[in-house]
Amino acid sequence: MKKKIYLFRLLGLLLLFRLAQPGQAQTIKPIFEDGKGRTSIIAPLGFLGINTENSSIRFQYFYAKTAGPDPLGTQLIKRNRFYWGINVTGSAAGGISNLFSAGVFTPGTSACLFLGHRSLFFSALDKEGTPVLHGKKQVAIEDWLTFRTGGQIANYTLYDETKPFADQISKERFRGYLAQVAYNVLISGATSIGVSWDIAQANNIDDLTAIKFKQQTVISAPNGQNTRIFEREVNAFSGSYETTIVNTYSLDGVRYFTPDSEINYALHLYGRLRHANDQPVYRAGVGFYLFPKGKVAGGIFVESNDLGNKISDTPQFSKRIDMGLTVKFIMPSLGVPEP
Amino acid sequence: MAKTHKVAVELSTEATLQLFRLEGFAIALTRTLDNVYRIAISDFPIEGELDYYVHCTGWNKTPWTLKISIDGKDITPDLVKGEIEKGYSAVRGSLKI
Repeated sequence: MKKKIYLFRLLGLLLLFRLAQPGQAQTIKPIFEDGKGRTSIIAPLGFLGINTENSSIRFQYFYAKTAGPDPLGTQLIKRNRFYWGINVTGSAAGGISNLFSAGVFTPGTSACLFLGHRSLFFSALDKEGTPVLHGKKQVAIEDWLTFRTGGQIANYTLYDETKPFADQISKERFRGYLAQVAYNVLISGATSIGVSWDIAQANNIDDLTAIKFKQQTVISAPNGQNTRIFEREVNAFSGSYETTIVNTYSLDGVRYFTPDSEINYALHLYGRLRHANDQPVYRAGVGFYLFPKGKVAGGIFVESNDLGNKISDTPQFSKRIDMGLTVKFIMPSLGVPEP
Repeated sequence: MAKTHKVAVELSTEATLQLFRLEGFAIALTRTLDNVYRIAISDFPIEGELDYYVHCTGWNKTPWTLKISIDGKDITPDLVKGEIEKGYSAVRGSLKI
């Protein structure tokens, strides 16, 4: 377990070292996620971030090319609208809300490859290179379609007290996958709408109880007079572990406000329809975020994990509401270019 | 005939750079790991001042900065800067070399 923690920290340090050079940008915009870290707004840029919303450390490489000369040699331009990238997230698998759950480190790594096409329905520039503006206010509209596919690996120790003593502790390696299609549009640099469908193999580790106990092994010497007791601490999850195929339909809306002040703010509304075991579960939430002109962005979100009370134990709506604080750091050494 | 120079361009932004022109030529820049669009051209003809054009799209108030070096000399000690407004920023200018 310790080796995994060190590897995880080493990966983080390497990424920091790679990006810790002056004049490089670091984003705060991919903060628009739900409590499980899910979003249909896929940011078309590279970033390295710590997101306390779902306690994940994440890294995204984004490859894109700007418009270039027409290969046929005309005065027109070739709009290079294809992009691709990779996204690696170090967090607990299965959408668990904390890397450390009840003091138990539950590592999981997910990585995905994405590729997409921008300016699908709304051109950002015409073939002569002139910006395309829309409406009376002459605003820009940007859109992009992304296909994302990836996998997830996590190891868990499970404890089941209903089984015979020798079988109560077991090791489980979770191998999940995800495929997502997402469409995003950004209107006038302030309003963004994202819709997506994804299919994933998920587990219910979030619903299990984290427990900690001490395991003793007693070895007696052949003479029968001495005994040696080995003791180790075991962190495990108690309950019935299951994996399921989940279809999720997501809708996200963000309104970004930029008043004439040092602080910008954003409102994020989202809805999710989760289909697992033929049981539709609706989830919705709202987030409010502040973006001061500095290195930290943060906000608050409120969400209901089960709007229709399909899977909850309680009929009381207020008890099906989760509330969370989220903070996104910008590493000071990364340096955001000031306007 | 214009003299050719070695030109290096770095445009830093979290916005999407749609088009970059130097002396009227569209030049394809590639986004790199750190959200800096870069290119280096070995023989670029320059006559007098260097005209540039930047067109970015993205979230409002997202800044961009442009740095250009010619034959290894930075000609933008005071970085050329811009900011997204109404979803875009399209700026044309010229630099003395």
